[in-house]
Amino acid sequence: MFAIPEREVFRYLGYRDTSPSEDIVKIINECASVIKNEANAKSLSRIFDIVINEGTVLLGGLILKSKSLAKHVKGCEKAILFASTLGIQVDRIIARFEHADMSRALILNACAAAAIESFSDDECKILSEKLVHEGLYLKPRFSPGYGDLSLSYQKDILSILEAQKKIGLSLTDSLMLIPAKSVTAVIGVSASRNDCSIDKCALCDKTDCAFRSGGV
Amino acid sequence: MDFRKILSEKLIFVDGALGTMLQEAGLPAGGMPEVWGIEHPDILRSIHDSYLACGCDIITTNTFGANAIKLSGCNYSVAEVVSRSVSIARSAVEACGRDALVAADIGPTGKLLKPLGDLSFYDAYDAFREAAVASEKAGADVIFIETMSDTLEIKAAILAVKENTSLPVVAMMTFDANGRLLTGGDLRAAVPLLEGLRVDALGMNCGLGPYQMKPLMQTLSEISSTPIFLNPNAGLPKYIDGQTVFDVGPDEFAVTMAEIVEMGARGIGGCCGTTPMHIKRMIEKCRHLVPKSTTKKIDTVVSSYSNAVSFDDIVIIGERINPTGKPRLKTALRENDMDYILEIGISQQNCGAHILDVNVGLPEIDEPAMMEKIISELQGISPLPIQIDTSNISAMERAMRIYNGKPLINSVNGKKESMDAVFPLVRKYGGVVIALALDENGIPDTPSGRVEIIKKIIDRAASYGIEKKDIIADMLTMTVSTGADAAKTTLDAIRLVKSELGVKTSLGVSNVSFGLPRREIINSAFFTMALSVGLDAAIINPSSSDMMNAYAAFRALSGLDKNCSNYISSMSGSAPASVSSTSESSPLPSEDLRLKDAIIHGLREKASVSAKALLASTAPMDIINGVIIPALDVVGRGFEDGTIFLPQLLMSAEAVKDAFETIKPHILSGRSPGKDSRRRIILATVKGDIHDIGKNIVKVLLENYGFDVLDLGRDVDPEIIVNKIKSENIRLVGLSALMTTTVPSMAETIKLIRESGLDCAVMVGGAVMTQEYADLIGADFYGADAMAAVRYANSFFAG
Repeated sequence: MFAIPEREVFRYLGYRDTSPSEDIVKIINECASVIKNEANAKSLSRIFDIVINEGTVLLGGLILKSKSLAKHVKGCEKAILFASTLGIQVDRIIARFEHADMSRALILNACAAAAIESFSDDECKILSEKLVHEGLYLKPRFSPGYGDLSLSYQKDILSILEAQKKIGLSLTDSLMLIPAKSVTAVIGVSASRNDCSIDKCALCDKTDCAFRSGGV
Repeated sequence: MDFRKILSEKLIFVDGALGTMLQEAGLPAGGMPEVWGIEHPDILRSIHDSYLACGCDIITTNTFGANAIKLSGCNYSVAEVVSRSVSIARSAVEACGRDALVAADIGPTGKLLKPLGDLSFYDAYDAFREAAVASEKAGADVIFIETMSDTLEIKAAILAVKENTSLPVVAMMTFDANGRLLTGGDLRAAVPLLEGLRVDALGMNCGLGPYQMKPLMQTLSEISSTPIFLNPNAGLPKYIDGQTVFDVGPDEFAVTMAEIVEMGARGIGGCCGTTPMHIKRMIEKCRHLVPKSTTKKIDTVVSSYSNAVSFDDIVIIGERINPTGKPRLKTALRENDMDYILEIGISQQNCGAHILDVNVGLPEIDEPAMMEKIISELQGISPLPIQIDTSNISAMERAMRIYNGKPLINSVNGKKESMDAVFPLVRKYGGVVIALALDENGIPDTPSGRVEIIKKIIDRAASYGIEKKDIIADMLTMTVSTGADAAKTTLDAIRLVKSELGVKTSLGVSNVSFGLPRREIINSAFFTMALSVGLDAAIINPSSSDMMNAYAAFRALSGLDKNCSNYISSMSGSAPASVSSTSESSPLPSEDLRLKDAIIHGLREKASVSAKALLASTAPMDIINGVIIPALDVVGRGFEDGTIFLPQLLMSAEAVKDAFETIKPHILSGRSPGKDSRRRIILATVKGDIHDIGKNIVKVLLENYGFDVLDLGRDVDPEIIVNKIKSENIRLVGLSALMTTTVPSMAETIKLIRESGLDCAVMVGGAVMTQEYADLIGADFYGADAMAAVRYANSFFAG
């Protein structure tokens, strides 16, 4: 079972350099248990050979037009398409609390956000353990919405992975993942260990984000 | 060859995988099999031919994703893909030299239905209808609805097929190894829904190999009265050298499928990874097996998307969502205050109710629309089955149509008019219906008189194909203060109807004490007496400790509660809250300071208790303006200063909400207190956006500060917002958007407001919003956090 790191939950709740009071930490722990109970976490992945051109990554039959992705997977000959979700019951429990107890809904939401990242990290760790024998390493996840990798590519990733059928993950018309606490990503597979563990916020351009970790 | 005929006569062999076979033949990853199939008709035809050569009775068409939602943007129409795919299958059957049937395959839309997703039930229905009609037109013999993981979606599909074609229907869902659906439902909940909809056969396909399906087959054979179809994958997928390989070969597949037939399956075939060889071996092994007949199960069961509730143990039906005698609920219904109503449902769930009654019968509202809305929302957040409680047949139908499960219906009675209106609905949608022991001649005085009416109702129901197991007798609770024999008659009637007719029974218990003091004492005693003569279900208030104690005690005493373990665990740690004793024992500080303190620390119960105590000495509006708002301001300023954070802000807001609820009944006007009708604000999450936690936070805070918030919800069309501004004369609107993809909807909404020449300001917020965007789209104000909206609204209405 995935862990829900306390510090991450604090960060999502807006406590940047401080910690919440004891009674709120107690509620956070209760909410973390609820999320673990309700989650039916699943993931999918598939590895492809890739070709990188100027600002384009060819993967399977898919042409990903993105300079930032191309830069991120530079030097990789393969990449993994990855999708993960905590399952729709998590959305349900958060929605239920939105009607009855908004503060808990907020904390459940933060716990769930930390949970999907933690679960995805665990799944990627399993993938990397399989590949390390071949002398291959995983780069950090790069999701549609990062840099100039368009959100519309989520459709292709989900379709190639048959995500709706296999893990119940789909998109709304406005390109939102449903269940909400889900991830889709392209993961570069590199023969070199460099640049393979980076703080996630460091990858992102939004330096004025209220939730940026590790100081601005 | 007729499907229903062969279903009753023999074991049915269905074909194997199409998708994986097409991939072998060159279908690219992420490509659309339905389109590729009609563009390579020879390949598709040869796959059909191979399966027919194995001896299949039924081949399925290559139309899994052939619906308007999956094919959107495609060069071919649904009708074209369906008719061409069906005719390729038809010609294979014509050429195979023996009898065989074409099953038109209908798979999921690929999207999640509302309220959690963004696809409406009606749009899903329309998509399925289009596919079903095209399938029948092209000559399909039967429809296979398969690989569904959402009970609401499969219901839309089944209704679409049954209401628009005359084809038989086989309904199959995809479960995991624990018998769960990806939407959180399970096998035991899905089967009652499917049987209620009267499909010709039901079962499961995909997701699992035959070995993993065996335990689920066991469960299915125990609960289903309908023939069972199973199409497993060729085991579980392994990824070897970047290729997907399934781990069960044809011989192993055949052996396990034979075991599954021995367990009672009537139709078998294969899904992903199976090949003509798998099917050939399966048919060779099973050809001479004698299919087991499906026995009729007699359990009375209702279900939600996730829970099946059987009436074998005592069932508690929570009665609180019913406006009779509840002015606050009536106000909530008139004002469309969904939060209040849903909170009552959740609270009853937390108190231990098994089923939730929903009754919204109020003359001045649109009952059918409200019924549909509440049930739609409630079933999205609560796992409890719902009792649809109405005498308005239109409301009953609308609710039954979109209900995600097999509902409990309250009620039908012995009047011809009632039976003629209700039974067709139960036949069409499925359900268990409560039958009241009254008819055109009124309510009989004697137990046998009431039993006669129940018998009449059961007989009439049988003529609609509704079985006795789906009827629950309500022998009617009359008021004991106006008729000394009232209670005894009811109890004797329950005893009699159970022994003579063998039906389940229910009662609305509280009527017995009408007009008497300390009603809860009489009610709980009557409840216990009724349980002891065999009452199966009771409609009560689950937050009444007297009633729930009677229930717990009865279960312990009657042996239903093994080792009294439930009784023991529900009684320990149930000491009443000691909050009131604290505030009574200490003379200081004063009550208003206690209320202020409770708000600042986000202590809901304390805030409620203090507010109540203060009402003894202070006028409601003075409490609000003198204590509550200043306390809120302390918290709000702390939030803005960065000393108080969002969780605390919300806890304080919830405490204020609870304090308001306590004060509400003491305000003379019908309006909610602190809700100033001159300070009205519309809040909405814009079109395309389905996340609303941020907007809801703003709503709670605005209401705290006395604004009257019209919450239009999420995914709201610009036109709806503009129309509401016009009709309600609104001067301030708050719009929220989560994602860059929905900022255009926000821009469109603002544009429409301006073009309509309305005197209305727009404040915007949301995760994606920035001052830049806000300026770009012409908003009047950008709120970076929850309190900013409150500050702006205050200054807007002041100046």
